[in-house]
Amino acid sequence: MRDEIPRGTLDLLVLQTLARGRELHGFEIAASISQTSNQVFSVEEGSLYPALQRLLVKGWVTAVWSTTAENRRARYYRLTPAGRRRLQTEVAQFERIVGAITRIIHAT
Amino acid sequence: MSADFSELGRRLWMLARRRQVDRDLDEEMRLHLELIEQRQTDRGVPPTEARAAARGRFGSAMRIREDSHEALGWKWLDDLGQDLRYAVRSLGRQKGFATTAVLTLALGIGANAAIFSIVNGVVLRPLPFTDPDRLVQLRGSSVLVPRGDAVSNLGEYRNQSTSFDALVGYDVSAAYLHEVSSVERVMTVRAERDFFAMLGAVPLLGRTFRPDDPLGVAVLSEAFWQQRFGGSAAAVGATLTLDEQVFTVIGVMPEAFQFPYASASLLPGVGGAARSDMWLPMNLPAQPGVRLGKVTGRLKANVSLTAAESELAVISKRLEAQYPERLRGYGVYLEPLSEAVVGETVRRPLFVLFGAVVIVLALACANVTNLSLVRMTLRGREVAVRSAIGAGRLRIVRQLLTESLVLTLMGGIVGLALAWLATRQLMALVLTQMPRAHEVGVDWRVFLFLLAVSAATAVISGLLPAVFAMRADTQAALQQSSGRTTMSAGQRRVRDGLVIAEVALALVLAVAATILVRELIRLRNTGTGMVTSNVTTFHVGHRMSPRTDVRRFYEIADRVTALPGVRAAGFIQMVPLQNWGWTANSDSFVMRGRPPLPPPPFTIELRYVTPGYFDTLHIPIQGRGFSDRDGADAPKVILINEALARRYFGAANPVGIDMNRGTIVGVAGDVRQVGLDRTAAPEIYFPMAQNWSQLNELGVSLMVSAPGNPERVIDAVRSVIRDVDPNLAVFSVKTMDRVVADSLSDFTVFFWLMATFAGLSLLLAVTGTYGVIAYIATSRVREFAIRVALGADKSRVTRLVLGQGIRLTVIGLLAGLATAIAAAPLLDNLPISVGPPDVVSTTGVALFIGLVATAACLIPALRAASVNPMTMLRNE
Repeated sequence: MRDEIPRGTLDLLVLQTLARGRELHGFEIAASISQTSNQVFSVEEGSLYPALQRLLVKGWVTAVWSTTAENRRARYYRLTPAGRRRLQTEVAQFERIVGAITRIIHAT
Repeated sequence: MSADFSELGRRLWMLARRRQVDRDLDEEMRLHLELIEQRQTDRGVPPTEARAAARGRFGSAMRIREDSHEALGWKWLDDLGQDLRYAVRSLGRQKGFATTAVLTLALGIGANAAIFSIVNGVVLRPLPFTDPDRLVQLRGSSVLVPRGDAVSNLGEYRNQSTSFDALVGYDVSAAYLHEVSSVERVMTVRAERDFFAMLGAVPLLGRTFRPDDPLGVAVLSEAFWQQRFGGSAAAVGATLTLDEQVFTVIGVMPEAFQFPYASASLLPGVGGAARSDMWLPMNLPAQPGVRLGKVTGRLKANVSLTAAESELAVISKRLEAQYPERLRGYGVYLEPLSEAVVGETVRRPLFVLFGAVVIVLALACANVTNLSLVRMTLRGREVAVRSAIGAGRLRIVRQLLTESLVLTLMGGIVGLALAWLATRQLMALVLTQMPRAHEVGVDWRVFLFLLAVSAATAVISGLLPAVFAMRADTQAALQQSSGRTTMSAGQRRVRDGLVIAEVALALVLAVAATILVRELIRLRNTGTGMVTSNVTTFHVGHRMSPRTDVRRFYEIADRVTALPGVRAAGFIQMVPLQNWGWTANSDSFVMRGRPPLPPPPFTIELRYVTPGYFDTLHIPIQGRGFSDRDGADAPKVILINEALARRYFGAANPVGIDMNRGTIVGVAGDVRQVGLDRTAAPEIYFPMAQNWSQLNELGVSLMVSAPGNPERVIDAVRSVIRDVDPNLAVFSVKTMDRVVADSLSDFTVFFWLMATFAGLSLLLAVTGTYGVIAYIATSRVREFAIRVALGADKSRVTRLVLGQGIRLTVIGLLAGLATAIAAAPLLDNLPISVGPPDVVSTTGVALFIGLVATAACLIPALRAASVNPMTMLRNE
């Protein structure tokens, strides 16, 4: 079963993926998110690439052109220190929200 | 690299590398697609299916690119490009509309840019000196001249005041430059030596005054330097002989430096170019009571004008207490230099003109708005289709606004060209009358203004139609078969309101122009107290020296009178309506052995003449005039004018009364000396022979009356003058009629500008009205055809259309009348004072506009009536 990625959390997922996996290109980011979520999330390319542009502009990630293991040119993204700080804020915020929602759901 | 940039920096960086960013994105997506495809193939899906599946999953690359652009904040840019392309295409399809709109806007914007560039150069731009805000003009006040008198006791103020970095006196005068074969008059500024330092003015060549400079040095103006030394650097160190005194040139000031600006006004009409030719050092005369025409000061930093003024007031009081006899009622006050240079009489007409061009622009806007409203109805379907396929309402409004921006920018460019041409012509015309006229030009302020006006115009003329388009009913528009929509009630109200406003505004300007023309005609026909036809004036420059013999002037007058064709001739210093201001205080005019008149004292104008003067201008004299016997050794005699006789002696006959300035031998008729709009001031006439020492270096004018052909005697008069004294220079020969006309010249320029703007606004209002009525007639033509087919009279249709036009016009005229009456006080304080609008001229103008508008509406009305119902209905 597949679910939509909740609104506004794509940035968080991308940043977290990069925090774990160091340098990744777009396809790898998408694959990683999908795999780590046990195929619950499927990242639409249509939202992934605009999101990456946004993160670039914000200065949370940088991109360099390099080659893949199969010797193909690919653009690799890497987290910046500012991106790492941003990730912490977003994770903290997300956990607060999820915590609150969980409490409401389990309230008797 | 980008990590160090701020977010804005990164945005701009990416924007600058737009193409690269797009290429990167494309390549990334290509890789992504390939990798998906590969994974499918790895799982055993056939390659073609794998590719199709990948493509299908991936979605539109275009869409991703657009979304990425939006993420980067580029959407507006993409949209703008699209809007611009669309706007240009759509305007290109309707060339008639585009041309009309662009020309209309060009007129409105151009007129604004022209007047603004004048206001900018003359009023807004800071004076071209260092820290001009701290420069002030020190002016004197006295019982006789409460504002703008000369300054007494400059030395005392300078010594006692602590508010100024510098306080510098200067005066403008004429001097005569002697050449081997000719005499040339130059306008000189004699100034204390820190004059240039106070202003912070830097020379083009050489240097300016130093505190230890002797009197015999001169700083030249660039124009004079070009004319005399051909712009050669060798001029510095060269010598000039002025009035038999030798001056060494030490420097040249750049063309932009023209201070003091008013040097031409010293001798209006004779001064020639509006410039100072050179600056010479001056020592402040040491004797008490010396009065100086012009004093400019630089306030110390942090000293306000009011603080300095109150300090000066304290000093004035102290001086008055010290010399109660001599200084009673004398004081000083300050004016910012910028206001002293460009006074109210210059500002006021400029602002009135500015108001006029704003009205012209408003009319242009209204016309373009109405054009666009009509165009919107023709494009209703297009807009509806666009909105039906998903264009957002704001997006449509933006697109329409972009169109009107393209229009106004094009109008702005054409307008700028018009303004540039017009301003150059205009400035050439007023160069000698307007201070700082040489500084008028197109600079960044004019450019910014133009951009702002164009943008505002675009919004004003484009917003309403766009908003109506946005609110339009898409469904209804799509169902219309013709592609046209009709105007909504709101649109019709706006359209009618605009016509009414246009007629009203045009009437306001037309009334203003009419008042001015009425005033101009009245002034032209004012009795001047003299007969000016067939009279020619010759300004004769001379240099005062002990050797100058006044009998030469009598001899010239006699010999000229004897020339064939000459009826009479005589000299006067200060030609009526051209030069004036040589005055005395009435306190100094007393009957022998009697005290002066009780206060308040008044100003008496002084005139120095030879006997033939009165006859030349047919000025009537009660008693006797002057004769050759009233020479230097004869008893002193004077004439007074009727104004002085009335004011001083009331009903008593003054002839024969002994005054301290001479025995009154006659009373001369009043002559408008100062201005056509001002009644004659009290005047005393002296025979030149008895008062030679009173005449200064400004020269005298010979008036020659030659019935028939006054031009014919000019050469003969010149040769008589040369024959009597080759050292006398003759300048500005002109007819007396011309002198009278010139006295109104700045008013005349102002009048023509107002008349032009009034004409323009009338044209715009009438075409606007015509356009709307024509549209109404066209859009109802089917209805009219049916009416006629059902038996309605054709004249009824005409009346119907015409009635609509007349209704709008009449409402507009009524609104305009009210506005004109309310706005009338704005015309006060012009170069010449004009009265309030009168019933005859305003109704006349209103009727005229009404008639023209009706005529304009008659064309579509008749066309509507002449439609053949059968053809019309068959066409449908």
